[in-house]
Amino acid sequence: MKKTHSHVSIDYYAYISGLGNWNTVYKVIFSLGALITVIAANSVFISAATIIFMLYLNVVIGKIHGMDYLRLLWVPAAFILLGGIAIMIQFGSGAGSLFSIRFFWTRLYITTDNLRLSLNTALKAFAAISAFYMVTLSTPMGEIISVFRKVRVPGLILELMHLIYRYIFILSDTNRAQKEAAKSRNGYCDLKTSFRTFSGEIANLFVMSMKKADMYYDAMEARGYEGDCDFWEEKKALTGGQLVYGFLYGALLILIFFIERRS
Amino acid sequence: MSKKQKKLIAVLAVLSVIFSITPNAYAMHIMEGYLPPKYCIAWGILCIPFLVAGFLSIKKKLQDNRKNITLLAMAGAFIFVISSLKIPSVTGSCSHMTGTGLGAILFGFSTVSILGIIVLLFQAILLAHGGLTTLGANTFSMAIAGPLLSYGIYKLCKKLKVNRMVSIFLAAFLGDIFTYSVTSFQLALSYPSTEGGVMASVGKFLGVFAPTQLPLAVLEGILTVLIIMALENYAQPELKAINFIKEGE
Repeated sequence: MKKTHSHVSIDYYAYISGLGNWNTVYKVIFSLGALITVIAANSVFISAATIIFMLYLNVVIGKIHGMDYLRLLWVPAAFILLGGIAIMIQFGSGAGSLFSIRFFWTRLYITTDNLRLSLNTALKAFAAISAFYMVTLSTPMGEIISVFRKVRVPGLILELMHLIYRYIFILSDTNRAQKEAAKSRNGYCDLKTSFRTFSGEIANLFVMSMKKADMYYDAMEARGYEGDCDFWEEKKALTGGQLVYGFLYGALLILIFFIERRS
Repeated sequence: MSKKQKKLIAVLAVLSVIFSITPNAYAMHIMEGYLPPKYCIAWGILCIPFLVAGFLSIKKKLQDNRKNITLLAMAGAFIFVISSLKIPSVTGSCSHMTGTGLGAILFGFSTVSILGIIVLLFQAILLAHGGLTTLGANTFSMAIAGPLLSYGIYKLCKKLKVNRMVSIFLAAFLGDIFTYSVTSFQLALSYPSTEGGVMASVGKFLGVFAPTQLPLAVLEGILTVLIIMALENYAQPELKAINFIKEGE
């Protein structure tokens, strides 16, 4: 699937995912549990096992195209790479280093420990991201917000979240149209013009968004809005089949835990 | 090839990789799984007073006028959308605005903290930028520290009667720089250097992210000035609606 906006694609998957009929609360607990385990355990094996398990859940059960899934995992790669470099490279006297190089008045070096730490951190980040993807790639925003309602987030915040979510798509559609109009009039022909067009676009988007806000309020009021937004929620049953995966993952973690303790 | 040359080539290779990847970087969201649990919790707790203050201020705004709900929601969506727009640039690289400076100047600091945490949550869920466990740390740097400084500088400059363009530029530019420094500090606290500890590590993180963040901050400053100028030219009624311009000013 090729989409220009990546947020559209994650949202798109949420509606077609094979995990879509799973019970939402269970899915969130599963994913959060995995996420917390990964960062609390801080172990290479648990991270690796989580990456593989979540790959299976997302790609095989969730039916997301393998290449698309890898592309999505690649999104945070720039941060992980740069952060990894900062963790890995040390400066100072450089005693006991694997590799060192003179750098102005000091030395840059890498020790085995730092190398291990940075690789471990990168792996942990990928594992955490894949655990989080399990829920974001299979759950539409409305359902995620319904989980927030269950943990007693104030209604005002939930209402804002619902509305912001809707408006994001309206505004990015508007912006796409603006950009096309500006491009067709040579608005992005050189850097100076681009800057003027870009800021004009944003200013205009602001005006439009404020105008729309007014209009939407009237529309909501016309449909009986009295200060509470109620949204329809689908009830999704928790089945044994869903629980099996949770147990499998738990068993995998316990197995790794014992192997690690023995060695 | 001598040993020295080999090392030189290795360093150059690493540098070229950094510079070829960075153009795709967003603002500095700390990624999921990057912070140890105790820091995730600590940064989250640090955000609570600001969020409560923001919540109360939003609540008051709604009590004053119920219509503000769609206005606030639009403001949140607006911040999300401008933070996902590509800034035009010469090299064809793509960097994105953070929108924190503009948000803070337009909507005020207290509102931005609540809108900011919602936007950051959506960025994590819909764009995979940032994450759930790092939401506290990211909220602190991007929705609290940066906007607070931007807003403070903007108000201070207004009091000192500094040129408007200069004050808007400074607010957006320094807000960005501050966000980037706070994030570096958060990362360094979790990953101190072997020699020199946290402070040396802050330097490393600042250095590694500088090639993306410094030009971005300058660009963001310039763009924010251009945007506010354009708004003042043809959005007077809307700016009054969000109390950016007072009636009769």
